Amino acid sequence: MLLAIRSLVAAASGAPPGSGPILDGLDLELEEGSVHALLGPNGSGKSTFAHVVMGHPGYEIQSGSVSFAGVDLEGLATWQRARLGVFLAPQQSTPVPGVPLREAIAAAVSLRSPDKPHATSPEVMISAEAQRAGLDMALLSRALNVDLSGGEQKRSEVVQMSMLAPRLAILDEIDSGLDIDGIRAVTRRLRELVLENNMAVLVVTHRTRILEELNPRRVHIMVHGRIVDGGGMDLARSIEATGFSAYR
Amino acid sequence: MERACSGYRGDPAVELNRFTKERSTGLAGPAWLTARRIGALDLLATSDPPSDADENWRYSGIDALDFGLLAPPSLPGTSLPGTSPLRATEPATSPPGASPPFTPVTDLVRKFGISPSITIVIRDGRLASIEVPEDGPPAIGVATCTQPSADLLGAGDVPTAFSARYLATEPAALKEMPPPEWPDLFTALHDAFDPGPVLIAVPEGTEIDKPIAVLQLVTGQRASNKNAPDDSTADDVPVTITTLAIELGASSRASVIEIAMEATTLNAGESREGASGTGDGAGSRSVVLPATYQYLGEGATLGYVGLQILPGDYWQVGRLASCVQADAKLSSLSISLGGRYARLVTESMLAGRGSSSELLALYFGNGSQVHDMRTVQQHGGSHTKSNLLFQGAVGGEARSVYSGLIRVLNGAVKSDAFQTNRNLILSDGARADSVPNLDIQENDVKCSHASSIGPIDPDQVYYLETRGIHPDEARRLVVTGFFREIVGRSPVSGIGEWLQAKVERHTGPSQPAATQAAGDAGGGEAGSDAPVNATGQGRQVTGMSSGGE
Amino acid sequence: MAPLLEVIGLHVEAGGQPILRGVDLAVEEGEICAVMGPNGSGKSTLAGTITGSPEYKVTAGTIRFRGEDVTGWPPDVRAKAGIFMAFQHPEAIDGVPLVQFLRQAVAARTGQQTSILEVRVALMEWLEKLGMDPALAGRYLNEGFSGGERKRNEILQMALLQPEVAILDETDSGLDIDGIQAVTSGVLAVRSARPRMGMLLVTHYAKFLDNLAPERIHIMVRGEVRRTGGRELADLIEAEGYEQWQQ
Repeated sequence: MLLAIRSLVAAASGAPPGSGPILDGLDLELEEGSVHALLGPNGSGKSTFAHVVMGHPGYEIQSGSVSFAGVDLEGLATWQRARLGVFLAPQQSTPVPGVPLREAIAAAVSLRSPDKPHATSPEVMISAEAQRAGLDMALLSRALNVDLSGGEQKRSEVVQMSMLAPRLAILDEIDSGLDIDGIRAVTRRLRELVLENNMAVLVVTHRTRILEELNPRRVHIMVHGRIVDGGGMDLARSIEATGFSAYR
Repeated sequence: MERACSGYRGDPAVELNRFTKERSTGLAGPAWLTARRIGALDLLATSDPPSDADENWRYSGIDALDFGLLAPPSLPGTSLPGTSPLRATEPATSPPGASPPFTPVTDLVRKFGISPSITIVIRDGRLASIEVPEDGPPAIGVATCTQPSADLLGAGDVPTAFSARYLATEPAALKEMPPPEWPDLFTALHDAFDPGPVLIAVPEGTEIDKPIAVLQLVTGQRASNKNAPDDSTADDVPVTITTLAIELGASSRASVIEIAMEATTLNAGESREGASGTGDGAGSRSVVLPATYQYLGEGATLGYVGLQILPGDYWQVGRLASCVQADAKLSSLSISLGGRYARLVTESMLAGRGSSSELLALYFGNGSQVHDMRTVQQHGGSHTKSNLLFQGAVGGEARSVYSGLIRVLNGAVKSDAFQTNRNLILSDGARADSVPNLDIQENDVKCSHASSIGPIDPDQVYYLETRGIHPDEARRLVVTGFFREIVGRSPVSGIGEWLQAKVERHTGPSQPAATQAAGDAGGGEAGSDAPVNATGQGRQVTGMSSGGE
Repeated sequence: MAPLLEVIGLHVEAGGQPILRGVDLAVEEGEICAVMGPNGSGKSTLAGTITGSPEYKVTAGTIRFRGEDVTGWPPDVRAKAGIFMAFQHPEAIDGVPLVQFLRQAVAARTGQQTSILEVRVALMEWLEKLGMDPALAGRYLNEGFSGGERKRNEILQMALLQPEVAILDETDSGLDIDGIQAVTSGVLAVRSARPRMGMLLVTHYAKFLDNLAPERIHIMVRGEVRRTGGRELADLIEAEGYEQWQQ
């Protein structure tokens, strides 16, 4: 199992006791090369879950475990998890003024695989990836996530993901703010990376549109910090029609 | 050097008793310069030493300077002990095989990424040498009114004729310059004991592409006993006074880079600033009072970079004043990296209709350094535009102060004035203060100010970390990114790379605390009395006032 | 009679780049219009320019509100006149309590002082209508709000400010299905109270339009309105994307 989450309970770091955990006994498994979807109402803990897997210092695990490719992630810093092959495209990409996208990617790529020389130079690869994702080439030289439209942000995330070639990509609302063409470009690239690299994908979303393109192996429903239901595309479609009221 | 930090303050007349009238009037110079000095002596006699309690010295920490130890600068012509005077040089065309007498200073300037059209070396305020490239000097004048300078340049007639004129009359760069916004003991001291300005004049219509480099070397030594009254002690803190006047004739264009450093830099080949760092030096080795005047004739364009890399036990109280005539355009960048306490008062007067100024500054403090930046943007002419961006970062126990005033005078209609001050706090012990002020006497104007103070945004570090970038490297990226805009706007190109590397080195590997939890990164402790000050969260303050149409 | 909001030949630059290249559209009193288009086509720029964001520079064309040229009006004056925008990414403002903010905004809009109590009552009412946590009433503006709460909070502001024309910039994106329902019923409630209010919806999501049933849908591509039509346009795009429009 690539990602195995067992009875995970997590809360905001330094949260007052008794305020209740955000993740409250979450179980989830993801195989290599598989696509899963995570659906849930706003505030159910989906983004928190993504950050906890990534090791955000703002959250702490109270019990349970997160293991990735057999490695217990607890105790590993975010950058270490990233180098193991975990990638997160967050819901909101933090602007980093003055640091060009190209420079950040170059720094990340050189750190991630210093011993593995690339056949193609990263410069050439970045341009090719930008083209595939439909990202305006000029944005590669502009500051990371600064003054980007919603759609540009998402495409930038996909370019970064493709460059880093992770083993697991957690995509938090990668479709939000993205036009139809963008959704198609993103899902096309995701399918390729799944095939080429055996990458696993966890898509966090509110819409079936992206799922229709990706055809996930399993759809998980998260409410109040735990997985309350699971199924296939039919489940996702019925949620899109009726909402989550059945689970409350 | 305990005494230098004692915080003792007393009667200025007693404290500064070595700065005598006789010593001032004994300085060489034409009548107009003597008159300037005498006027300043009167002010000096009535000036109290500044104190942290004064509005214009708030947060400065100037109380730590013991005025009683200040010793006057040496007299002209004095050969200083232990140093060999710099020689005037021929154009850098040594015959093949001949070893040059010393490393040409131009090579030093090139280390900063600058390829100068001419290098002017000033030592303790006095013109020491001029180095011109093989293809000859640019068509500018370089002169002092206290030393014969034509032979220093050794080329062309322009400087000689120019020098003669300069001896007789006060140049516009001094005469037309508005008086100091805040006259105090230091401005009085500067003007009363000014060894004489070094003037760079660019004639009307002349355009110089490559920058004019000025090396302001400070020896940090007091006058030797045979030239000074025999009342000196080992604890003396010598005062060095320098004045550079840059005068651009109508429709001319030039750029100047002025580098202030300790003279040993030249002999040792590397800067003591790098070695001793960062304000950690105990006590006070030297006080430097530099003044740079920028006068732009109608339609002139000046790019100026001032780079201050003095050692960490120096105090600097400096002034950078500009007077910009109609349709002229000033771009100025002050880079403050060195010194234990480095104050720079930037005063810009947009005198002529349609004139503009871009005023930039970058300061970076470590150890126990203090960077004290005060600015005045004055609009005298109509349709004038000033755009100020001061950015600093402080780590260790360093502090920075920014205080800015926008003043739009009556008649300066349709003027725009912008003022932005941004500060990054890199450690828990560091602190920054920012105080904006507006004084608007005209209706039809647009003014705005904004300031921010905060730690490195932990979200930015986290985001980069999610890409596998180590937090130390992430912080370096964020800090260099913070300065990238201002570095990119440098009016003298070439220095950007050196500066970027310097900033990266200054940022260095971070404290272990920051490595373990990006969420805890920095958070300056700050007093509650500041209008805008540091907190762990960071604060953003913006204001806008807009006149009716 | 002049339309409620009219955009005529609007050319707009941002950061020196031309974004809008001659946009024409109108919103009549009581009308709901939608703008759809690929990312980067200028939808948010159009919304921002109508509300007077200083980021955008109008190089040609005019914006008229009830027949009056408002192109040069500062944003606060437009807001006071009743032009409202629900932001795509509402910012958190630390230290400004939500109640305080709403009270000031309402005072600016109506020109009358409203008591904290009145604002609080209206706030609680709308928090409930929009399915929001009542505890949010005690927070700073958007501070600690989830993405969905921020979006709902924009609609809450619309309800309290009672605008003449409201622009919703991707209010649906990032909202779960329940959130979309809540926002939709919120919008419909405001409209039933103010039937003459005009609306301009910017969206990528055809489903968001189902209950709001806009009379006209404008397709915007590369800074121009390429086609105007009914609901069938939204379905066409959902099926085929924008590729055919990009030439």
